[in-house]
Amino acid sequence: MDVKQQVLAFFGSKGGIPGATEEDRLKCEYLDTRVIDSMGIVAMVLEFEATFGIRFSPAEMQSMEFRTVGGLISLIERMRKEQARG
Amino acid sequence: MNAIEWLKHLPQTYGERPFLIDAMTGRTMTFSDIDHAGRHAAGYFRGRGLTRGDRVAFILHNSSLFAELYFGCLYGGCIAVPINPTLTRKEVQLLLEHSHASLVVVSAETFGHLDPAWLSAHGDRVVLLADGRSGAIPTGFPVLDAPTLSASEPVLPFDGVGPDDTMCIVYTSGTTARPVGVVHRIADLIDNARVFSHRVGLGPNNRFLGILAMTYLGGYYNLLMLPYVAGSSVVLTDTFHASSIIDFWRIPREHGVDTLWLVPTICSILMEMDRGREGESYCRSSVRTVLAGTAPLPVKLRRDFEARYGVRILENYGLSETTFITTNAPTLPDLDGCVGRLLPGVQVTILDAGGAPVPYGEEGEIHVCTPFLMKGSLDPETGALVEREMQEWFPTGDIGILMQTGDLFITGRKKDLIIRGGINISPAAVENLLHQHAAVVECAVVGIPHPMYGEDVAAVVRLREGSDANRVMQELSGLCKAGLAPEKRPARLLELEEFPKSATGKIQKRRVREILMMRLGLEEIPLHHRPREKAPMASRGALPGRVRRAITRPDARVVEILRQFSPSIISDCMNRMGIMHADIRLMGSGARCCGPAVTVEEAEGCNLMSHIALEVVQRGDVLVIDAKGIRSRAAWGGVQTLMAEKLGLAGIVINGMVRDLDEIRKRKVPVFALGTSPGGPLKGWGGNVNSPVSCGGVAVNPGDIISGDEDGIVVVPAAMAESLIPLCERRVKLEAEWIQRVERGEGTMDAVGLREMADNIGIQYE
Repeated sequence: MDVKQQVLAFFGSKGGIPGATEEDRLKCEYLDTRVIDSMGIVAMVLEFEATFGIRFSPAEMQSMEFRTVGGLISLIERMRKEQARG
Repeated sequence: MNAIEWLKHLPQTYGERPFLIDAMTGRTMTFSDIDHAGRHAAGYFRGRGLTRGDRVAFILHNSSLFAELYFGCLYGGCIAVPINPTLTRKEVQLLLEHSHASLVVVSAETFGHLDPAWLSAHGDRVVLLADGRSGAIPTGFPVLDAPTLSASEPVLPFDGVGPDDTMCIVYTSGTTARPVGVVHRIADLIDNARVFSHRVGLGPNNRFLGILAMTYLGGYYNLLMLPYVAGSSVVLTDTFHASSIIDFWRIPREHGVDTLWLVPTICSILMEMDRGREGESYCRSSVRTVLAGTAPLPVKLRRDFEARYGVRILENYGLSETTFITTNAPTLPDLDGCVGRLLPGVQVTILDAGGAPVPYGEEGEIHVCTPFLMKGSLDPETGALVEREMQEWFPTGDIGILMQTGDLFITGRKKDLIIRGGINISPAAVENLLHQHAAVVECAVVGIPHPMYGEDVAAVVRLREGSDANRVMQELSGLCKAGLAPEKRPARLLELEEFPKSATGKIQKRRVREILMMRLGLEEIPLHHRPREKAPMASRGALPGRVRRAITRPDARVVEILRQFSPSIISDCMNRMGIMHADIRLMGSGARCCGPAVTVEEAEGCNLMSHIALEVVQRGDVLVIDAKGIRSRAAWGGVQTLMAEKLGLAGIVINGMVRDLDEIRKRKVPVFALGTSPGGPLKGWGGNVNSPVSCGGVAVNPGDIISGDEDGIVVVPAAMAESLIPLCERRVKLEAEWIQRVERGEGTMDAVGLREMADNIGIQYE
């Protein structure tokens, strides 16, 4: 599974993301729409870090990108590329 | 001052100081503002036809308007019934029916929690609060917004409302399937908050972070009413949720928060997710107090948090039914696993399995006798109030150890309850739901260890033979999702073919938990901690105290000479220093008193040490009692005054209340105090005799000379006493001259020699 599939699968396991189309779902601000709770975000961060071998910095977690499902996918993909470049 | 008087004095005392800073809207409310808002909100409720004792249910998220409505209830004598908006429709409906709420306040966000059938029958009770949060406001119901509130005719606060009136009904998960409606008087919460904040040292300089849900006692009591009672301020935020973690320290930093009240889950989430150094440096530079409660705080987590953020966590312990029982304080020893020392007036006894008291340092079930005990609880079926006696021993269901010092350790739990992230969950409620499925023959719900929640919910079921296990398990998950708030849903749902049972056929939950942990590969997380050493056995009751029998008294000749001078003359000769504040007034006879101080320090609300001091005093002494300014009960009475007279004491000075005024007036010994109260003193706690005390705003050491009359009290430090004599003699002569000159017809400006002073100051006459 690629990053997008993994991220969507994670949210699927938490009850799914609201939105009629995939585009809507990728725009979903999952932190504010309470798709996940306070423990959900801990689980999410720990799971993505373990799965993709990355570690979110405070700036990355506070970015606007981190707040939407689509943004999160882009962020993880970029972090993985940067890591691959060393 | 009783609870109502205390509440009335707060806006008068702290008027324009900020009380509530709404970080979500930027709105700041001072103590005066919330007082005015409360009057208007009370007026709104009255306009809706509500009267004293009517119940108002709130299904709301945090907002400053919600806070205004809480004050409106309090001021108008209505009973607040907070209902958590994370509950399912079914759970909400149950509570609405059970509480018989006359009015139900919801918001655009929480409106959907009302069951359509209930709504069609009781829609006239519903009001929509325009709290400025997200969501379109549904039509067809009255909208309550800020302009409507401020346009409501204000009412006089507490008109016909007393301390024993009911303040709120809080639903909590007990061990029964249905939530328990805990009923609290105004005095329970307000007096407990006063004692708690006094013990911890909370006051006008504390600024709290209001991060817990205002529909829980944590958000309503710990983080709204308690800071108000302490004269502190609160920065109100949304309930701690996923978004708060990402940028946790921004709001505290922006608003100067210096007091945090955390639940263990927040502590552990911060340890994992707070990855910058900002929080550490902010805490080290600006946070003065961190309090923690609502669930057991593992010792390792506490120590790790303290090491990282550089601030001590003060644990406390209480139940919805009892309010706070103990707290740690900066002045108390920092003991691993200790949830604090008993609050003044609160008694604990530890009983063994047979119900017999155990010695200090031994383990057993914690029973509490507290003046802050709930008024009662609502009958789970009928909703009728079942009152409790205040002097009743309340079984907490927790296992613990009480040390002779009054320090309490929680070592386990007897009651069948799960505490997940500070929220109580009744296993019976979850079991009842699972039993609704026809394929479930037996089930058991237990708490399993969770690294951040402390405990999580796990369920095991035995299914009817021939059931399609996969399908049933999916249906059970659906049932839980529909019928239980998210935090109550089992995180693990497993099938068990054979349940461990006792000889009487009862499911052994401890064994079920062990089996579950083994199957899930979980390890025990130590939540509780025992005290390091066993305390020696000692008589039950009193906290330790110290009595110094021998003190150095001033020369009797010096005392005799000073007795000739009034406190005013003496104070004038001490640069007008040493004066106790004017609240300490003469209660009994008008005689002047002068004598060496024997000092007494009492625990709040007690007077054991004063009785002990009466065995230590000598003829001519003045007993100076620091009763901690407690106004809810007397620290001195008629019998003690009789004893003081028999012993030849020169006077009694109390930073507290007296009773039996008739008796006191009959005696020659003058008694000075803050006022009178019929409330009797407690005896169960220690204190000190002949240690330095603070009384009426002045430090008093044993052996200092106390001079008092109808004008008030002056304290003369022993070392200064003799040198005052010539000054006082001169002063008396001088005043005699002034009197003669005024009698001869001179004005006071010339007689007292003030004309030159007025010229020097440059007073201009027009």
